[in-house]
Amino acid sequence: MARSEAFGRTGRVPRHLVWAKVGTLFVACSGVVESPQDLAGESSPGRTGARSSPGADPGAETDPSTPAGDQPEACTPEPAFVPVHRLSNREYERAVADLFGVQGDYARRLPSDNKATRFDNNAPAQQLTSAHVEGYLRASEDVMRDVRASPAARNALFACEEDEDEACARQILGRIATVAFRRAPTSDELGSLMDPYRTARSLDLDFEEAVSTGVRAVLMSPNFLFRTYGATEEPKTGPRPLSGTEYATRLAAFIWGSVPDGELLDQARAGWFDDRDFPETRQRIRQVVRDMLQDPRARSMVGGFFDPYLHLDMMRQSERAPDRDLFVEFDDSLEASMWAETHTFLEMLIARDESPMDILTAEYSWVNPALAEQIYGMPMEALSNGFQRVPLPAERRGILTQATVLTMTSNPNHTSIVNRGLWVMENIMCLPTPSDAPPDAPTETPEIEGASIRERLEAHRSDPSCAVCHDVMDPIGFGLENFDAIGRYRETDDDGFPVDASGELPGGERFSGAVELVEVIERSGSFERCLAKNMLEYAVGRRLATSDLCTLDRITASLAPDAPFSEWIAEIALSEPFSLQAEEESP
Amino acid sequence: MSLPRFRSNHPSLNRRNFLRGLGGSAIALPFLESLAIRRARANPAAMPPRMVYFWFDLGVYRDTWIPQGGSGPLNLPPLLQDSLGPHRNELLVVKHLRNYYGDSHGEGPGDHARSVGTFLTCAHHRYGTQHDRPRAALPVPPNGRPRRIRDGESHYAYDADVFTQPIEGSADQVAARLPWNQAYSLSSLQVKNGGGGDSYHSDVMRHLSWTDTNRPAPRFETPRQIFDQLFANRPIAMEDGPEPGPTLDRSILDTVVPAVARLNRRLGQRDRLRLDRYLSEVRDLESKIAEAEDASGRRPARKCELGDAADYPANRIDFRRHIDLTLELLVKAFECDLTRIATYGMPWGGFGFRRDAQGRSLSKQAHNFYSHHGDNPEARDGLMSISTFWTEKLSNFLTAMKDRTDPDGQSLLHHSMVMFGCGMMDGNSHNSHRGSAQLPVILAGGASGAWTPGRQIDLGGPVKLADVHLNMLRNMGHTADRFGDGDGTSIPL
Repeated sequence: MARSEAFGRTGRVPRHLVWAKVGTLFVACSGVVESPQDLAGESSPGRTGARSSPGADPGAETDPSTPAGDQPEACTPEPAFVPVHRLSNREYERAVADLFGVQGDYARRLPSDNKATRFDNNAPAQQLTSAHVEGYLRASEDVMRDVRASPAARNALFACEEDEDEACARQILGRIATVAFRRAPTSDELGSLMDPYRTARSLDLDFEEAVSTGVRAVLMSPNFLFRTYGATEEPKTGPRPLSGTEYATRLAAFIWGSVPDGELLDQARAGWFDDRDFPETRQRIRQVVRDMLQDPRARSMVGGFFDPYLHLDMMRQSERAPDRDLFVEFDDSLEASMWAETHTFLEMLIARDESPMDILTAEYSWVNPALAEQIYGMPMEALSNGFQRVPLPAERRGILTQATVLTMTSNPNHTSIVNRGLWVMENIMCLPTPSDAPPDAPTETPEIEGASIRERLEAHRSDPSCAVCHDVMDPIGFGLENFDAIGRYRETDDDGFPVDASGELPGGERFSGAVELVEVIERSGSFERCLAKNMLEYAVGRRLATSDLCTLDRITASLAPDAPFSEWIAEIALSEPFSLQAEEESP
Repeated sequence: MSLPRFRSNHPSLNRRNFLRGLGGSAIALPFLESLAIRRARANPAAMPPRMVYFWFDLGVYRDTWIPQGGSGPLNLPPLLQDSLGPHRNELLVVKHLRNYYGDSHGEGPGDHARSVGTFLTCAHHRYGTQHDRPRAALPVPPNGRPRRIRDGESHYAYDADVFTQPIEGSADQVAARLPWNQAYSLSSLQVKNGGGGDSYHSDVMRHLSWTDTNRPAPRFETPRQIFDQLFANRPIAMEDGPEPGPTLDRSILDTVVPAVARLNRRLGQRDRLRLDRYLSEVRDLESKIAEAEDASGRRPARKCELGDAADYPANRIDFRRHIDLTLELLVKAFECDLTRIATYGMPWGGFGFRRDAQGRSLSKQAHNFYSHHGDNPEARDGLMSISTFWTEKLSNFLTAMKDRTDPDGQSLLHHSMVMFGCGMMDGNSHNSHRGSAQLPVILAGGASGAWTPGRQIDLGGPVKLADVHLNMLRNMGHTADRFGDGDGTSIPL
């Protein structure tokens, strides 16, 4: 049986058409799908779909050897080809930190990564130029300088049980290469790594400097800088599984933004990740994923995945920073508190293994006294210093009402209905949005004497070329109008009109205010799919293609409505695109 | 080949300490050059003129950048009078400048990306994949078939062509490949901050400089990245004799060659192409180092103060500070003759530009708000204030380039060609031809005598931006008679 068929039976695809209710509005994610039929998601179940029966282990696997039973229109998830991956600049810094215990902005030596998706790990867009080679050479020098300056890192690296210098160098280089290359170096390779050591000694450099030169060669090695998928010396046809070590390496990049450690590599070598269509293996992988997420290294998912996914660095763009003359409360410290709120929220969500649906629907957040007082209007006494998990006021739910999102989507002196709507469409619902207004479209909201922003935007929408996007953008933005440009609750808008936070989306769903807006989005199932789409894209380091729609269906169908974060990550890790490499296309 | 046999063990004399020492400043002595090149570079004044591109975003207010009147002495527009008046005699303005491929030509929306990707290429680039487009707003091109990067698949971002016709690169990259420029270990420097967005289309917005039809040139963002590129990433010679850095570097690079060969045996064709690129860059660097090691008398071409790396932050900073620090570094780089070619896509921001007499801001809108001015007085004034902001920065740069001299006693500016401009015209329409139909572009410098600045040129009809690039390239020794859509039906500069 072909592997992909085996995989094809591991999940059920209930046909549940909650999506259809909102018609073509809540469609699948932008970017890769071909037609409205793809988008409408005939096979895309909503969150409330009948999945595992109550009490069943959500992680239970269907035995791949049994027939799939009644599974009409079962789609077949397919892997796609991913070229060899270079460590992104972010991953390089994390990897070095994990290998040696030193931290630094070593990637400043390198050109900035291209981003053809939101993420910095898009393999096809990655480049290699002479500036990279020079940059890696110099960065490795910086790393070794820091290692030698740090007593802990220095002792760890140069620890050796041999008496004689050369044997000792060989032992150290072998040890570091075994982790950096994700396998023991061959004796030829080790011999090659000893050459820089010997050259350095011949130049009268001391032992540590000479060994450092050898370690720099490890850091320049393609075995360290690149991850391969399905590398084999045998002829290849059809999809093939990643080796256990390749799989562990991909997991480490996904969850830790780094390289695997000795323990994970040992597990890979012990065969823990082989035969990933066996239920036992899949259970073991789920456990490994849970363990990895409990490791402090998993915090790098916030910077590597969530920041770019949710465009949180918009918060740092001076272009839209609040006007501090108008918002006197907004200072560096409040800005830092906002940033910390959302980051604490996400870090704690990972650490406590809560449902990522909380991002949309949480009735709590993590706030400090400054935010409680200045933004959320909460009683102060209840709060000690630092960030605490507190229930949100009744008018707020989830990240849409966090100060970061409300602030970064506003203009300096007033809220932006359009920016807020656009942010929700792009990041929460994954609706197709234009990067630009169409040519010849009037991009200016018409000036109408005495008219409210609602009336002016309605005039703008009367132009069909504007209506395409604004019919969705504007109602969402209006739903958030109860919050000013730094996220405080209000009942009068920037122009002095009473806030009318009601809206109706093209599918006919009506709402009033942020909480109802969140409920409408939750019912649509669009956030669940949008999050899965972005997670998968980050996990595999390429753009998704039409062939991935089926995988997204599988992933969302397998997840219970309140599945914890680790289940999501495990579903992605067990999916075909993550686990298999497709046959190479001709270049 | 002779290896240096001696290395001072005195801690203050190794290169890293040397660079960090000296009371926080350091001396750069670039030496990675072959003998012939070093001879040529002995006199930077004898090299072809420098090429400097500054790009800014979102256009200007109508015709405010365009001088009145026909060809003759430069009649600076009132808006630019205060900032650029002192440099009147170093400026050159070509009227009716157009960039044909700054327009859509069937590629649908995407004026933002086009104002970047076409500015130095003057070539037609794709808006992105079909999937990047807003479906309903998608105009169907005349042949009825939407263009795609690659049928059905969109995930091979740069493995597919970005431009619709093969291009030889952006003007700065064509110049970077000129034979004489191989004298410079940093053949060109590209600085541009990331734009927003996450589509392929947005990534095009991050790159002014293109190596070829589907590869952007390496791009640097933070001042510290720029500092490292200019002054720290290349082996730098000590004044007091040989030191082991380059020898060690080469011994490290030697180990990469067999490692790639071994890995390649297990990879398919596409992957091998990638690894081979790594290998060829490694070999290239190795041979440069070997060349330098073989050469005797590592006398640097020039010697100059670099300042302290710690002054240049490695994180994201306010855009105003970014511009000031970058311009400062560029001037130093030119003074030290570390590179002849630089392209800087200036970061944008836009609030607080309009101020009253006390310096309080009157209007704090986003730059894009001012840009789409719709003749609204607040936006118009804001956009004009932003123009002044840009031209003040240009003025500071020109002053610094004029104050410093090359060995022949002429200013650095005399031996430079500066293009300062934007790929959009009137910001309101956001594109390159509607509205006032003239690109806001200012040229500066003497091109080592090839240009006669202090003038404005009005040929009575449209002038292709590509022809200006071609003129600059030819002044640098490029012999081709075409660039982009330009054929050099030339403009007398």
